[in-house]
Amino acid sequence: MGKSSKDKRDLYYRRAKEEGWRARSAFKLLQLNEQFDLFSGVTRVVDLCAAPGSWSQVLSKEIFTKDHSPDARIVAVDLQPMSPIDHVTTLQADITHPKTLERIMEIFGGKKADFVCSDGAPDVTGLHDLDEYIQAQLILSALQLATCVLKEGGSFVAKIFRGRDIDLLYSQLGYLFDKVICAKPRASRSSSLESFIVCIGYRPRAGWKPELRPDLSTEEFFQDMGIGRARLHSDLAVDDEERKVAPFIACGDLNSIDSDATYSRGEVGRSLDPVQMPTAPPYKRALERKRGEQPSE
Amino acid sequence: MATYSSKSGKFHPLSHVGPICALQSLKTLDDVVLAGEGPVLKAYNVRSGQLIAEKRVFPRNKIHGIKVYENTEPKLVAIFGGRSLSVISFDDIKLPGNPVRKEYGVEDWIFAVEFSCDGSKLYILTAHNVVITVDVSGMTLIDTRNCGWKSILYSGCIRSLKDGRVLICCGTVMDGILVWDLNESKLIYNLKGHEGSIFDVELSESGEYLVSCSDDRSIKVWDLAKGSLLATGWGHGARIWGLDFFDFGDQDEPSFKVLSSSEDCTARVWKYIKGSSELVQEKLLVCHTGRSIWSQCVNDKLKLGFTGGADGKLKIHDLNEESRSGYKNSSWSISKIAGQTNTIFAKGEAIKGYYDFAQGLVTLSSEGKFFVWKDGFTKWEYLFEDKRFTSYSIVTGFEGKRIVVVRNKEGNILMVKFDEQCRQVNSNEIQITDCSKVGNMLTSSTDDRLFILTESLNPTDPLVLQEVDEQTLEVKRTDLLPKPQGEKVSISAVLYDRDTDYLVVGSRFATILLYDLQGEPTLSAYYKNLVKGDTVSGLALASAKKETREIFFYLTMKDCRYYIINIDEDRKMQIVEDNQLQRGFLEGLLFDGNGDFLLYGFKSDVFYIWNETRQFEVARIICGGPHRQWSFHHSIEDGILRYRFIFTRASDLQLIQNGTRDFKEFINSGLHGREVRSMCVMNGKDEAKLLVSGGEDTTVKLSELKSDGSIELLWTQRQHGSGLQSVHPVNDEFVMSSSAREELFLWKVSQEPRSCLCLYRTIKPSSSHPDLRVMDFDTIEIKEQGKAVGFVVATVYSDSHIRIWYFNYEEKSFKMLINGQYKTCCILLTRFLVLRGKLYLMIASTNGHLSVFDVNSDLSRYFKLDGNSLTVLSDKFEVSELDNLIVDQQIHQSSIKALDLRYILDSEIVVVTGGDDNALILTRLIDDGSTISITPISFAPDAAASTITCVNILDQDKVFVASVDQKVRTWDISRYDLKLIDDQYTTVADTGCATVADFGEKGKMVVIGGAGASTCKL
Repeated sequence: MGKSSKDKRDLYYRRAKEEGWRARSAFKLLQLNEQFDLFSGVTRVVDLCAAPGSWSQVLSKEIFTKDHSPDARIVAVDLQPMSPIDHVTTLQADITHPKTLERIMEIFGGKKADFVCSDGAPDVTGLHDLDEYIQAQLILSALQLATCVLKEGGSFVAKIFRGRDIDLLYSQLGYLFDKVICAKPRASRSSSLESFIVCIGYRPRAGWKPELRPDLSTEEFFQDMGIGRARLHSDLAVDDEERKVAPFIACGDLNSIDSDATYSRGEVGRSLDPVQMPTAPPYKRALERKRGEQPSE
Repeated sequence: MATYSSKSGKFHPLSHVGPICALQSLKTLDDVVLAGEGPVLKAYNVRSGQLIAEKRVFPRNKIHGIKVYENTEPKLVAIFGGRSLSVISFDDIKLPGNPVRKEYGVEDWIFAVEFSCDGSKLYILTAHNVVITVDVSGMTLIDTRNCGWKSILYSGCIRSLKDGRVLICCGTVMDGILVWDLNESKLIYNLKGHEGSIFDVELSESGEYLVSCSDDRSIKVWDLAKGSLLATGWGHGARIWGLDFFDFGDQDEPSFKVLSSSEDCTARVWKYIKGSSELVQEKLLVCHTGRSIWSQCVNDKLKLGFTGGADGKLKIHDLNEESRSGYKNSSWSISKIAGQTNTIFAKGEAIKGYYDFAQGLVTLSSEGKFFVWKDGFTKWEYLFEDKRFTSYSIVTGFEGKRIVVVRNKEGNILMVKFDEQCRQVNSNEIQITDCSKVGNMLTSSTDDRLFILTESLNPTDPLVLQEVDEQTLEVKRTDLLPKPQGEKVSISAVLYDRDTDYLVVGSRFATILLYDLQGEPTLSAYYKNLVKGDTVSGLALASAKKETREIFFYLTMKDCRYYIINIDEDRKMQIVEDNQLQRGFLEGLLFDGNGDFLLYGFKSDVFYIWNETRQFEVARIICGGPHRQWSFHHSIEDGILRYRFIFTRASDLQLIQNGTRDFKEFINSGLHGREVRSMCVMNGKDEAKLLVSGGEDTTVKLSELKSDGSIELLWTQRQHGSGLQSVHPVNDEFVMSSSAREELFLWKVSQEPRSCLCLYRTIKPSSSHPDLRVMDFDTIEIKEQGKAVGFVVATVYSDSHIRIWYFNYEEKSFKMLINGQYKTCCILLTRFLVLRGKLYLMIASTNGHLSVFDVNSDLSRYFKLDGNSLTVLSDKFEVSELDNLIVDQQIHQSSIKALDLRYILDSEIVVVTGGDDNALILTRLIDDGSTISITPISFAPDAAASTITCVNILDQDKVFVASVDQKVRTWDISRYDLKLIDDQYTTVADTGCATVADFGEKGKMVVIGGAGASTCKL
């Protein structure tokens, strides 16, 4: 799809460029906030899988208001480099590594976070079950860090894909939060499986202390938490895991822009360049070879 | 598995076509290949293509890998997928029935398994780089090990080596490949060199080599003794998913080959020679369509490769074509021919024309020397020289008659007949006297009639048709065929049909001429610009009726379009089929031993043969492109296509001939290469059911839906430019499909000469750069004395527009009757409603509303409602505004993704809707005579864990519902109250559409579409 046709297909894409958001997903967080009032009283925030940074932009704007707390801090973590954003400390780091946790806690002055979010999604292969597994692992990595930094009563928001085993995740999150809701902002296309899990009121598991260790996999981290995850048994028995459906809430005004609709030229106007250009893909060299260029080293 | 009981509304799964995620061949059983199709393990015979056995292995998970331990009897088969694992005896697979098999599991996703050398242990590699060792006899856990790195993986491989070591090799999500020793739990290498995720790693049997592929689209060969990179191969156009070693050379010539498969839907063969830094691509196999090839394996003994695609196709590849009996690849230069035949070629003398008469090839040089290439294309023989036939001569012949025909521009025609040993039997020379300068010459023959058609260079001259006697080669008759007056004709293809006595002539300028040879030959009809394109490149008879003189024939156009054309008894031409290949030059068509429809031609630097029925490339010969002298000969021997392609390259004559084979080319032909988006069922001939499906892969496919639930692909249409949105039938003859780019196509389903779909008409987009999606449509038929003459169609768009059109099969044009806009949101679904004898239009949108427009006052000006169809009252059609929105009520929180309805009374309808909000809602729509009201009555907010995408009312009691969480459920609706009665899992991921087929006494069948298609019986 060319630039201008994408503009017409998606007015959010257009508006994101006009308003200076690095990605249209900024509107998703704004609409989630409209519905759940996520940021009131929030001081310390961790934005995971943050690049290119549109959620950090929203967080910066919403938290650093005129009368913000002197303790207000936003940390954005991603494996990819990110250009700077006002009031946001960016860390190019692995969210599963204990060092990352240490650095976040340093920035927060040893105090726990009020809000942890992740808008991360892996590159999809097209094999639905594998993609859903990898996405679930990404959420677990975010949740793993969240259980280490989140204060009691804090909130956790993450992107999910409502595939075949999403009810397992709903059930497991139910052990850790007062409320678990599946929210779909109007800015997220209804033709996409994407939604957001909004978890409110963190309740640390009694008698369980989170500990990030490099020799522990995410699977092992959650193993003793008692949230109903499958375990390895000596007889290789298959666990019948608990499943639960989280209530669904559509957010954003019904009269706001419909991300599935096509808007006419008049409603769209002149096409703009994106705020941030995409980074170099791993197959860059393959493309250069195909075009007969000298591969860059 | 569920038991089948019609009363309880439970399902009984019948058949599935979809992504094939695992393939494995056996070393000790040559002719068997194992395939994982969803949760079902299937064993096929590669020689017959027959299914030997099938067993459902897991209740939910798809099979992602198969490993066979062959050093024991019975052989052991380990199967895994997701976190599930099963080990069964190979003999058990063949047992009848489908006993519940013990499913084992681990706590994490499994990437690879391997048996220990003695078969007593099974090693399982999980996605966090942990190896679980299991005792096979008791299926109990022995231990878990790791190398200290528990990063998440994308791929893995385990090898039990003869020296007792067990090597683990893992592809990480970012750049690195980890190699570790299981016994010592110690990392050996972290190999760096790729960029991005590593999608497959494969260890050679000896543990000497490792091959890997990644997001960066390269394949790398590593030396595991040193941990160093040996070679890199480039070529795939997208991500590479699978690799296998085969064909290891001996000590003297250390080398091996690798089979790779990719997201670009091709498989490739690569060769590595020790010491080289390059992995050289040897072969390109274009074999799948749509999204990806998900699985592959190699049978090293038979030299066969197997690939399984997202399209559900299981393709067999010959990895050693060159050694098959009958295979030939030879090249002859002018000097080599001169040397063998003891002739002297003049400076610059070249082979200019040739004709392949099956047993040999007759060639003509630019100086008039005739040669024959004979003795199975091994020897050349000089025939004679005739200086009258030089550069501008045409060499052709009569197919199957061993008669070669040569003409020069002066009009001399020389015919030479050969016997099977390529000896000259007879010859004759004739002279064309009726045209001043001779242009093109074509031939056509049947069992007993041989024709030569010659065209003059003077465009006003008639065509000259000569009938030749097969034995004497004398001209039996000469006719002058007049050209249509004032029309440009330049003949390019000819077909004579014995039954109708018609001569069909194809020309440049997209013109087809029809000559009646009964009595005095006449130009019976000509058709100009009815087909698109420029030059007719090939003609072939499909069928003909002697009594009515009706003829069906196939036609190819050089610019990649092809047609099936019918000329009826009134000599009216109809296009039965119209389709096109993506690019290149199309030169002709043929049928293989299965009756599959094959096309051949050139694209870039290759000559290709494409199986259009099954959608794969049969052959690909690098020849340098279309601009050269070439000849293509084909025949069917023992049901197998044998072909010979001879071409001139750099003045050398090159020959490629395929050999015989004793294995199938494919096992399954599959369906859509990406998600199925919409489907419908129509009634075909003899109670057959036809399934029309539209995919994200932009194709519309016609398949036969059999009563056993299997789906057999019949035809593929590629004319949509983007992924399909909706496919609905108008009746049993016409079907419509819609997609983005404002495409709305009306197709006619033809059953003669073969089942296919032909584009009948399209609705012209409202803009020259259309970017609207036509989301859905609904039709009402228009009848005249019980006969369908047209229909009214309502279309809804992504910009909230609603339009209603009139269509008449005779006039073939869509006329807009109503135009309007709902709001600004995207409309997803629409249905016509008839309440108290009046017409309404219902729509459902992304805002969760059900809305009803009164369209009766506008439509009743032109039509009278007569039961479920319309009759035309007046054809003074005008466009009116859609302005009568009478109900607009929110039902769901957001998008209504599925809807079905049932009439209770003529004033009451029950509507069942499913939404993106996981809810299923039963709504009553009542017309009390003055107002229409919509009242939700029963509400199941968590009817699914994810978006509901299919709602199909089965009967007065039951509704079928499917959702993206891969669940299919039946709900009781008999008391206006939703009650769940059956809840099952479907292996179809991205579950997006469903349709119901009524097999009468045999009951109803539901087809579920998404990533694949499954059928189940109620």
